[in-house]
Formats: sequence, C-alpha cells, structure tokens
Amino acid sequence: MRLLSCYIENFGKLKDLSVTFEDGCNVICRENGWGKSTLAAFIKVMLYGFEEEKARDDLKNERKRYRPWQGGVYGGRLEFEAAGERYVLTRTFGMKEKEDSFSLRKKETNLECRDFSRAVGEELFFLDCASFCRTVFLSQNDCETVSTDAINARIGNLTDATDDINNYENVNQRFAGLLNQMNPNRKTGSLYKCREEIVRLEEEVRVGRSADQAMEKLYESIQQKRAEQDALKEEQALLAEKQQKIAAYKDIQVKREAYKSLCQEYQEREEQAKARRACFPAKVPEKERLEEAIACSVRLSAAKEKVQIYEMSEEEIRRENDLEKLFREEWPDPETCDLQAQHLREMQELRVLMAGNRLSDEERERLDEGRNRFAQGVPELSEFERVISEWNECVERRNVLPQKKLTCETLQQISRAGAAGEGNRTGRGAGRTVFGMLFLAAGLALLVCGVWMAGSGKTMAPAAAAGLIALIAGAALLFLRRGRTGGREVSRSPEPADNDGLEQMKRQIAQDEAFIEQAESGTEKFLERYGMVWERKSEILDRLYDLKAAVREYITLSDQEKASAQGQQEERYRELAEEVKAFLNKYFPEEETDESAFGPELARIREAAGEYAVLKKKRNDLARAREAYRELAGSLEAFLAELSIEPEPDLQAHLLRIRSHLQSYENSMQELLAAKERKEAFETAENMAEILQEEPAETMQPLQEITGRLEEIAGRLEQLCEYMADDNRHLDELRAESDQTAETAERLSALRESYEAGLKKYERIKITREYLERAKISLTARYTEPIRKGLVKYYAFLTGEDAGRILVDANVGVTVDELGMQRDPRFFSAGYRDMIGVCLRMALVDAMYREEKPFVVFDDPFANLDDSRLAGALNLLRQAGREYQILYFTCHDSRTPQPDFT
Amino acid sequence: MKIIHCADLHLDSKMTSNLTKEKARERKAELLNTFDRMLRYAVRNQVEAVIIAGDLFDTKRISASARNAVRDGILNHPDIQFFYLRGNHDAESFLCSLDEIPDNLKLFGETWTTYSLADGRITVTGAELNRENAGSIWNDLTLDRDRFNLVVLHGQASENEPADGAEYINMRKLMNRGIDYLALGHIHTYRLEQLDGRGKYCYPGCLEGRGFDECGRHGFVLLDIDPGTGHFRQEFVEAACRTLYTLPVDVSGCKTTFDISEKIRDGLDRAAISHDSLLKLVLTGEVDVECEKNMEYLVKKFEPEYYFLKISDETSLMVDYSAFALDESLKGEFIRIVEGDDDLDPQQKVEVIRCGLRMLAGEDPD
Repeated sequence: MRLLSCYIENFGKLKDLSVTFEDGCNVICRENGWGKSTLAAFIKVMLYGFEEEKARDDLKNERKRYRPWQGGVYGGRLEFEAAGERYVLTRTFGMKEKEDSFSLRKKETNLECRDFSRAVGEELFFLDCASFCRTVFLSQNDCETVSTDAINARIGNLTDATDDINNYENVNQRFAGLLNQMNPNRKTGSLYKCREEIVRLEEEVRVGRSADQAMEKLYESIQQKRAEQDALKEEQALLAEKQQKIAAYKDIQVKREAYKSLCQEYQEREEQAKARRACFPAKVPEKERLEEAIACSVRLSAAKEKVQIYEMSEEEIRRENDLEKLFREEWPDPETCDLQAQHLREMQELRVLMAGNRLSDEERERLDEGRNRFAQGVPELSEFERVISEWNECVERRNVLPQKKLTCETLQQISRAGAAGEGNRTGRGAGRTVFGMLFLAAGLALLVCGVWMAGSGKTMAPAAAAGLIALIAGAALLFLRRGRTGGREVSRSPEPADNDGLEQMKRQIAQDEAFIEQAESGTEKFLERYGMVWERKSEILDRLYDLKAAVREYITLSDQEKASAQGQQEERYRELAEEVKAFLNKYFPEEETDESAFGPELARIREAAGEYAVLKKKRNDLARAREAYRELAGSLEAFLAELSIEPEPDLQAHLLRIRSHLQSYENSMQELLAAKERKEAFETAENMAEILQEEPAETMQPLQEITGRLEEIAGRLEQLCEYMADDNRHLDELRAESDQTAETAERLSALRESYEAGLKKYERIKITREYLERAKISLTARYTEPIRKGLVKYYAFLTGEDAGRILVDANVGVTVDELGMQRDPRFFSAGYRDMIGVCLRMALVDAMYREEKPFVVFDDPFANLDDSRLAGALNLLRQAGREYQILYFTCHDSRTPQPDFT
Repeated sequence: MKIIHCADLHLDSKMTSNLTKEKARERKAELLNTFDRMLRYAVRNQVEAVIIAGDLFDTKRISASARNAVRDGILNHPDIQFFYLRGNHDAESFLCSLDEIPDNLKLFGETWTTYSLADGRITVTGAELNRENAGSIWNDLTLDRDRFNLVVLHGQASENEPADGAEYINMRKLMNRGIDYLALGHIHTYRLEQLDGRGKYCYPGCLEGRGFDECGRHGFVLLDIDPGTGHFRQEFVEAACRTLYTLPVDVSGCKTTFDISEKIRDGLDRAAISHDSLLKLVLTGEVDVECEKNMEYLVKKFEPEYYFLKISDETSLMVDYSAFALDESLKGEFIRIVEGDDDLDPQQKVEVIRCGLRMLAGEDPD
C-alpha cells in the first residue's frame, strides 16, 4: 500500500497544496513553520479522522487545531494504492463530525466505491489510530512506542477477531475496574461494603435477639400465669360446687327448721285444743244451741231485771190496797179524768170571761164620752194616717219655704244683673262672688237641714232639694265670676239654664204655698169635727195623735160592753160544775165539794187513778216477768245439765264464758287443722328423707370462709387476666420487634450469601484475569523474537552496532542491559530513546506487515540525534526505503539524505 | 360424621424467600384466606370436627392477624370441634394470646389424650412428640378396638427406630394397635398409605404451597366416617388458591438467549400452566461455554405471564477444548492455559473460562 498524492484544499495553515509521492523515501525538507507536521497530520486525519474532538484545548482538539487559518473548504484529497487498486479519497470537514463529507472513488473508473468505509485507516492498516501512531506514523518528538492490542492482534494476525488480543487491554482494564469495584479490602469495594453491612446487621440481629429472649421469658410468664389461672379456676369450680352444696344444705336446714316449726306448731295446737276441750266435760255444745242459750240467758237477765223492776214495795202494796178501795166501784180511766179536767179548764175560762167583760165606772164614763165625740161616726184609723202625713209634709214645706223664696229672689237679682250688660263688671263680679258664696252656704245649710230632718223622721226632700238648688246656684255664680276675672269671656249673657231653674223654683214655691194652705185647712177641719182644740199650730200634730188614741179606747170599751150584755157563759159554767161535782162525789161521797175544790179533788182522783193504773200494771207485769224468768231459767239449766256443767249464779256470764271457751276451742281446732295441713303439705312437697338426713361433713366448712376464698380467687383471676393482657400487649410489641429482627436476619442471610457469591466471583475474576494475562504473555511471547530481530536489524542500520544488549519482552517492552541490569530506556538520553523507538517501530511494522508493506511517516524523528548518529539514521531511511514508501519530513539539510539517496 | 384432617398450615409464614415483600404479604394473607375457606367448606358440608395435625403456625412469633384469624375461626364455629395438636413449628404463643381456651378447641399434651365424638363411637387420640416422649410413648397407647380410632401425630413417618426421635413416628409401633385412621402432619405433600390390615395413615400436606419445594396440589382430607360400622371414606380436597410448579427446560445446544427463550416458550406451551401460579423454570442441559445467556432478559420476558416466575440456571457449561487446541489467539491461549492447570477442578476451569470469554466478549462475568 502506498500513497500516490495528496491535495490540501485547506488544512491548518496549508492551502491549495498538492504533493505527489513516489515509492521509496520521499523527503520533504522545508523550513520550520512550513507545515510539515500539518501535512503529516492531514494524511493521518484523511485516514483516521480527528482525534480528541471533544477536548476543549484547541491544541489537543485536532478539528479545531487544523481548522483552515484562511478559511475556505476544510479538507482535501488523498490518492493511494492498496492491493493493486488506486483510490481517490476526498474528505471535507465541518464544524462537527456530522458536517463532514467522505468520498472514495476508484482512480481508474472515478466511480464511488465502498471498498473502505470512513474508518479507512483502520481498514488499510488493521490498526486503530493509537496503534497507527505507535507504529507507522512517527510524529515529531514521539519516537517511543509500546505495543497495543491492535499491534498485538496485527502481529498475531488476529485483527479480525474482535474479542481477542485486540481487546485485551480493555478487558484488563475492566477486570481491574471490577476487582477494584468489588475489592473486599478497600472501603470503596462492594464486597467490603457488603461485609460492613453484614457486620452491622449481625449486630442489629444480635441486639434484636434480646426481643426473642424477652418473648421466651414472657411466654414462660404467661404460661405460669395460665397454669395459676387453671389451678385457680379448678379450685374455684371446687369451691363453687362446695358452696352450692352448702347452699343446698342451708336450704335443707332452713326447710328442716321450717318442718320442725310446723311440727311444733301442730303439737302446740293439739295441746291447746285438748286443753280447751277440757272445758266441756260431757260434750262440746253446738254453737247454735249455745248461742240460743246465750240469747236465752240475756232474756233471763232481762226477765230478772223486769222482776226486780216490777217487784212492789210494801208502800206500793198498801197504796194499791187503798186505791182498790177508792176505786172499788169504778176506776176512772184517764180519758174520763181528762174530760173532767177539761171541764174544769172551761169553767175557769168562763169565769175569767165573765169577770173581764164587766165595765168599770170610769170605763163606762169614758165610753159615754166617746159616744158623744164620735156621735157622727168613728173615724177610720187609716184616715188618721193620711191626715198626719199631710200635716207633717205641710210643716216641712212651710219650714223650707222662706229659704226657697230667698234663693229665688237672689237668682232673680243675678238674672237681672246679667241682663244689664258689661258695665260695672268688677263690682258685679264681686257681688256675684258674695252671692255665690251665700248660695253655697245656704245650700249647704239646707242640705244639712234636709239630712237632719230625714234622720229625725221628717220628710227631707224639700229642704234637701232646696239646699241642692242653692248649692248649684252658688257654684254657678262662682263659676261665672271666675270666668270673667280670668280675662276670658266665658259668657256674656245669663245662661238659659239659670232662667229655667229660677222658674222652676218659683213654681215650687207656689206649689208649696198652695199645699200648705190646703193641708192646714183640711187638718183643722178634721180636728174641729171631733171637738179637738189647739192654741198653736205646733200642737195640731199632738191633737191628731190624741184623737187617734181616743178612737181606739172607744172601740175597746164598746166591745166589752157588748160582751157583758150576753148570759150563755154562766149557764154553761153551771152545767160543767154539776158534771164535775157528780164525778167527784162518786169517789168522795162523804165530802161536800166546793167549786174551788174541784180542781184539787179532780187532781187527787186523777193522780190516784193514774197511780192505781200504774200499780195495777206493775202487778201484772211482775207476774208475767216472774213467769218468763222461771221458764228461761229452767231452759238454761236443762242446757247446762246436758253439758254436765254446773250452772253458775250469773248464767249469762257463765254462758258467755262457755261461748268464749267454745270459740277458743273451735279456733284451736281450726288452727290445729291448719297446722296439720301445713305440715302435711310440707311433707308432700319436700324431700323428707333429705330433710331428715344427718348433716354431711363437707358442709361443715363455714360458707363465709368459702365465699371469702372465692372472692380472693376471682380477684386474683381478674388480676391474672390483666397481667396476661399486659403481657400479650408487650408480646405484640416484642413480636413486632422480633419480626423486624427476623427480617433483618433474612436480609443478613441473603447478604451473607450474596457476599459469599461475590467473594467467589471476585476470586474467579481475579483468577481469570491472571489466566488471561498469562495467555496474553504466552501469545505475545511467540512474536517477540521476530520483533527483536527487526530491532537488531534496524539498530544495526542506525548504529552499525549489535543490539544484543537491547531486550524485548513478551509485552514488547524494551529494556537495555546496561552494567549487568536491564534498564528502562527512560533512564537513557532522548536521542537514545528515539533510536530505540524508531527501531522498535520499524521492527513492529516489519512484524505486522509481512506481505503488502504500508507507507511509513517519519516526521523529523532524528532531531535529537547527535551528528555521529545522523548518518546511521539516514542509512536506516535508506534501508527502510527499499521496502517501504517513506514520507520523511525534516527541516534541516543535515538530516536530509544526499540526492543519490532517493 | 364428617371430619377434616389438615396439617402444616404454617400460617404467618414469611414467604420472603422467593417473593417480594408485597407479594409475600399477599401470600400471607392468602394463607389465612385458605384457612378461612376451609372452615367455610366445613360449614357447608356439615363437618363436625377439624383435626389440625401440627404446624398450624410457622413461627413462634404469631402476628395479630394470624392469631385473630384462627381464634375467630374457632370461636365463630362453635358447632365444630377443633382438635389442635401442636407441631415442631408451633409454640405456646397462640394459646398464650388467648384469654380463655374456647370450649370447642381441644388440645393434646405430651401423653396420649383422647376425646370422644359421636357418642363415644369415634375417638380422637393424640400426643405431641418431643425428645423425651418419642421413644416411650408408643406402648402407652391403648385403643378400644370396638370404636373408630383416629390417632393424631406430627412427625416424619419412619419404618425404623429413629436416631432422633423427636420428629419421627415409629410406624411399626403403631401397627395392629386398632388405629383406623392415623392423621399425620409434618410432610407437606399429600400421602395416603396403608398402616396395617385395619388402618391407613395420611399426610394431608400443607394447605398452600409456600416454596418450590411444595409444588403441586395442596389442601386437606375430608373423612366421612360411619360411626356405626366404622367404615370411612377419605377424599383429598384441593384448597390452595395458587399452585407452585417447577418446570425443567432443557436448553442443551442453545447458543444464545433467543434460543433459550424459544425453548422456554415451547416448554410453557406444552405445560399449559395457569397464569395465577408460581412458576420456577429450571434450565437444564449442557450449553457451550460461550453460550450467550441473559437470565435477566429471560425473567423479564416471562415474568409478566405468571403471578410469580423465577428461572434457575442449572445448565452445565461445555468447553470443547480440542477446538481451541490450535487456536493461535489470546482466547485459544487462555483456554489452553486454564485447561492445562491442574490446580483447578473441571468446574472451576469452566467457570474461569466462561468468565474470561465473557469479559473478552465485552460482557460482565456471571
């Protein structure tokens, strides 16, 4: 492969530059700053593109560094020959890679071809750019070289295998990266971190295990409590059973007591009944019969009392005998006596009447006087009432009349004054005031007078009316006066009402005068008619009353005179006296009875008759009572005899006592029966065998003691429940903690596994890396020898010396055996380093390209050589130029081969 | 008389070994729901007793929701007798948390405890095994052969004298003792076998599969006993709300993730597994050491199709050393060097080679 020519449109400072290349060594000797390195860079960029495009440093960033100084199209053309085919490669460059253009044409046809891509350098040289720069392309001041994967691959003919030696460095770096990343001994290593985390989690789990231990203890505690609970419950059940038994036995005991009580009661009732039965020796009387006997005894007592009541004293007997004698003919019954007494009363009345109707001389004189006075007729009493009334009213009106007249006159004056007009008002006003006051005073006086008269029974109306009128008039006058003196004209003319009042008053006065005249005249005529005389009018009323009294007396005396004039009363009196006398003579024949003695005699007989009747009745009653008593006593005695009971003197009390006994006995029997029934009912209802059994020993324990213990147990159970609830709550908390620990433990376990796996992986990677390195060394060691031979060859061209002390290792590393020790070339001078570098590069190129040789770029590599070495260097160029197309750039003639060289 | 025999409910199981926290919580709730569903089944089918043959809970630490679910389940079904025999996972915590042991909850102790059902014609006898009683308890078991005898135990059925007696049930000692039905718990898969000429023994398995070691159908056993004749019929009732499956997929010869994905798809299509299941795909077979396997991609691809899916890579790597014998490359050199190193065992060699090759290929090591 060789370069044919190049044309630079614009590249760095180079512009429109065409260079033609020949086989062999092409020397481009130009002064400094001409652009030799730029030309070399152009060739590299045309093949590999720009390097360091992302670098900010313009010097490192080749796209920027070689941007045309003078502007214009950035790029150029390169003609080359490869595998016998000539190509024209045209590239232009923009600001960015995507603005670049690429064109490859075959020189022969000028048609675009795809024999090479944009990576034309790599495809031509089988080297990446770095390897190209380490071998074929010797840039200025960069002669030293090292082997790269691409170089190794090229040397080992492995450039086609993408994942082999050509990738070794990358793999090695990744191994280093992985090992570094996983390193268990470095803090940044994942395995180290993992182990740290494991330690941390182990500690966390260790601490967390305390929760498990606490839980275990808590479980034990709960179990103990549960065991205690079970034991207590068992005891509780036993005690409850015992309590039930005791309670049941208590019930039995209560029942037993109740039964005993029933039995005792029955016994007591039985004894009581027996005792009460003893009251009846023969038999128990029937209640009805006893009641009859008691009733009989009551009657007996009553009979006895009757006997006692009717029992007659000696005096009564003697008196009875006397009275029997008195009434031996006939016993006057009370009616007869009453009739006689009535006769007597009638006689007395007749006697009084006869005595009362007889007139005395004085009475007769007054009667005669009355006959004279009332010869014309006796006036009726009603007439008297009318005349007296008229007279009284006449007197009243007459008394009031002067006042009325005065009032009337005053009103007239006022009226006249009002009609006279406005003049002299002040004086009239004062006058009115005076009059008003006077009227008021007069009215008040009349009113008081009227009231007084009413109080004294006289007619008050006229005086009171006059008084009222006077009061009104007075008030009116005062009112008028006030109205005017107040500065306001209330009334300019007399009021019509005033005129009406005046007229009315005048009429009344006239009426009063007429009435007085008529009444005086009528009364005087009335008195004169019956001969009554008076000196003053004030006596008239007295005369009227005198006349009235005379009328009454006259009428009474007239009536007496009439009664006395009749004789029937005396006859009747005699009849009655005879009858009474005859009656009295029947019992007192020997006695001459005066009329005055009728009363006492009749009373005697009457009394004696009554007494006799009483005594007679008493006698009869006594006899009946005695009979009844005997009958009753016999009956009772028979009843008691039937009962074999000796009668006591007080039979009723005795019988009542017997009744009481019987009642008691019956009650006892009832109680006995009830007690028996209760006892039998109890015996039927209850389990008597159980009740009558002996008290079991287990019920001997006091119930209180059991109850106390049960309460104690209940309290403890409640307490245990609370404790267990607390324990369970605590357990839940611990469980959560323990769960957390368990999760941590799981994480720890997983982490441990992960760590173990990671560690294994780490070891595997480490081993693999070692094996891979060994493989690489082993592989590269195979072509170390050709490289070393090449190095010796070129070193001989350059120095004319044997390169025996220069050693090449499997990694194409070079050492120089100097003073018995392999030394790094870096310890040598720059010129020496350049010499070794150039030789090694050429040795590598020899090893890499055994068939088609590439062109080699020498960008002034011998600048550091001293003159003695320069000839050798030019010799090397000469020798190399025989095999390779060499593009040699230099700035100095001394480093330029002679003309015969090319 | 109908009796439910269940065991190994493992309520409150963490479920976090495969599942995310959220899904684990969901599955925990599903466990409780399944328990509740079983009780509802009992009510619907006039079941008179429920035998819980151990491991009702998974851990000593019982959550409040699990505790309440069981307590309420018992209290709310007073007509059902619950015979609860504690297993190795159970602890006192549940009973401790109860204020009072419900009347219908019957417990067992370290010695044989017998309860009667159907007027004494059926007996339920059980004992909780531990190190102390496991060796000596068998001779103390006395059963009335005229009755239907149901014995409850929790442990591993063993034909031989176990070394560690605590979790082992000596089946020989239980033979010909008059047992009609030996209700066992401890094994998480359903198993019914003949105990002797008279009786059978049965593990109902767990109610819900929790991990991929509990794949397949899960539920309880419904016993229908005729107390008069002593005849009974047992029926396995599936109760689990989800099923766990482990599906092996042979990916031998696959070179890429795509090839493996195709194989998995093929396997899933054939298995026709319900989408609400929990599925574990196990990649088996031999693949080339350079086979490109992106497990993450595969999980992401198939995960949405199931309630839960995990893929376990159990493939073995195959290295054709002869292919690299003459390979003049770094890879060839590397494989030859690893192969030739006697310090590495074959598995390590494969692992190192795969690691190296993945690195060279620009991938991260497994």
